[in-house]
Amino acid sequence: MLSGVIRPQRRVLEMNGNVLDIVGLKKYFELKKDRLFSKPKYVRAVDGVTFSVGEREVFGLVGETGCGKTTIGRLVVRLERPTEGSIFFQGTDIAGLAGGELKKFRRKMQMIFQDPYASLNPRMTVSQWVVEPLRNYQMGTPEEMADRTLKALEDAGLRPVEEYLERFPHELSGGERQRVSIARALVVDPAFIVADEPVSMLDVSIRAGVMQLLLGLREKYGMAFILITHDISVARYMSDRMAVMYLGKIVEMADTEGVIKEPLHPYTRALIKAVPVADPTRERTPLPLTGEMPSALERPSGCVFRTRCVYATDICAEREPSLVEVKDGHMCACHLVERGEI
Amino acid sequence: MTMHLLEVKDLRIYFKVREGWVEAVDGVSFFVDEGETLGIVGESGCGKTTTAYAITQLLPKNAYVKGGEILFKGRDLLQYINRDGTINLFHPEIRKVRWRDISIIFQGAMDALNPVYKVGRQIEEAILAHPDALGKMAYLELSENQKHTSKAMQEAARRRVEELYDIVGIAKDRIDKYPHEYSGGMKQRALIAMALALNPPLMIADEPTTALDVITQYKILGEIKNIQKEYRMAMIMISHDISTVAEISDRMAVMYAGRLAETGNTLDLFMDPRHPYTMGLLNSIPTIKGDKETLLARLQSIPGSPPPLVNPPGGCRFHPRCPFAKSVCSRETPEATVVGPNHVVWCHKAAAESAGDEW
Repeated sequence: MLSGVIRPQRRVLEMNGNVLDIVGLKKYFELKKDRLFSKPKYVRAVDGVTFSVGEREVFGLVGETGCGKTTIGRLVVRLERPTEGSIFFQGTDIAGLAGGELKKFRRKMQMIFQDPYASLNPRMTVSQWVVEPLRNYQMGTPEEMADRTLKALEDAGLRPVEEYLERFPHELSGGERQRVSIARALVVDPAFIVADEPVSMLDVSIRAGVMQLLLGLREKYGMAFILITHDISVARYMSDRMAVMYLGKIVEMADTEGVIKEPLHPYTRALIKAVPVADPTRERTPLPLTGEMPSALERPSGCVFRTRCVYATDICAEREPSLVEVKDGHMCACHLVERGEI
Repeated sequence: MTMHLLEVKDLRIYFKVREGWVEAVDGVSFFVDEGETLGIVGESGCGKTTTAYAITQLLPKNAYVKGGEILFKGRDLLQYINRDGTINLFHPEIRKVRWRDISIIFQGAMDALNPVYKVGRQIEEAILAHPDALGKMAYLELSENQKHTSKAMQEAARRRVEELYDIVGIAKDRIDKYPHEYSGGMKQRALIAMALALNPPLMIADEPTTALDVITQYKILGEIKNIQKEYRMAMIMISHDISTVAEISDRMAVMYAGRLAETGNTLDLFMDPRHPYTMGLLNSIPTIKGDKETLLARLQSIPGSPPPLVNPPGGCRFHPRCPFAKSVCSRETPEATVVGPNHVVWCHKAAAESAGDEW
């Protein structure tokens, strides 16, 4: 080992049956300084987030642009290094790992990206693209790799497989491309998959197919998912539990139906109300919130949502609410909900 | 028969590409009356945006009008195209109509504003391009003499911009800021202000809220709706999202692969869809309404994916994906069948059923 490189201490969590335990996760991005010696400024993309994902669970992370949901996804698969906090993957903290140590875990966690038009290599055929991770991890003989590739493509719903193997991305439709991305994630037999807006770029008429495919894979392989989406309807269809994020914090977390049918946090209430529901008879009433989301640089003191909250009182500016259990399993970060005032 | 504000008849627009012709819009007819909202729904590449841009004749050089009429207040706007069928972007008559009579809220607020000009100035520019319209707006109180002095015009335009910012809910101190100083929602509001600038009788909103977060989307749709009611404007709202269109439109047109599938009153289309594509579309969107079991049972995607429009499938263009397709569907293009007041379907199955035949 090179001298001077500090090897992070290997931390292990007791086995609790969870695939992932995220504890106090933070990611601050340093901004470009306007002057050489000025104090650095940070954007707090993820600011102290704690949650767990159980075996075979689909965990939805929901929020608006800039709330930090994608950053969490990238941290979890360690495309980014966290500023602080732990990511226990099957009991081992991978937050500080690097290089070969990390590679051992990488295979177990895969990511599906939002844009199927940008996430495939235009110069590789489908079979080359899907077999690449197997080569990377040296999983089996060439024959075994070929078998795995075929199986993954078939499981991703690209049938008959032979027709797809030698195609290039430009010869595929959006839905087919996303299925190729799914096959590539699937082929290394991961323990969980982070799906970042897996259907938002797809045509409406084929979204349901991709969502059903992902849920079917869960049944078949028993992997867990983190589903990142801005679309609560999608999260509702796919996820077992979900967390609503606002400016880098989780403001509410519970089982999905609980959040949708009985939202507690004022932000979640507004968010749920704003979701279009394909009902021509719905009355449009004003939302219970004001203003626009502040930039991540101008974070309000105390509760991050208070500047837009219609219920905000003095305490909201003074003290930051913590995410506490309000009813069984239903967590909410709001002083007023905690006290039972709203 | 009364005259519609806008009537599009059998519009056909093809794009010339290396591989041949892209039949982007192929025989589309619809109308919009004063003060009402028509929603045009369809997936990417179904021709909805091309249809809308054809109305203001903002199409690229390789677009050829192959037939049809676009009647605005009875006058055919297609009489101003070039002889070979291409669009003449700068025809003086079209330039008069554009923005004064028909304005557009462009798709992608993020990119529709010029980054090097102040937002207010960009709106003023649109107003100043139509001195006659500016003069007509009485509250600007321009005397005959003032109309000819550019300074007075500038000031009047400025006053109008201030008024517009009030209407769409942006603080006036934002007028002299650049687009990058606006948030996404504010840019969208500025574009709405621009579309409203000359009080046009018809506004085309092309995916006006697609790039926005749900909360901003909800607010802006509400604002568009209010403004439209207050100024009695007609609107064509184009969207891939049938849920948003449902909430805002009086009538709807569902497009598939360059053709109309079904048109009708929004409520009828939702309660009693007749075209298999409309049904499929309604079944393919997840919702937060109702209980989860119903959702799980209902949600279903349409098999296959939308066809390419170079050499599209013959007969009904939906037949390769249609669960009810029979041999006639691949042979013959379905004719329009009226199944109710305002409710028209282009489908062999619906036609047979409405004639009382078995399918």
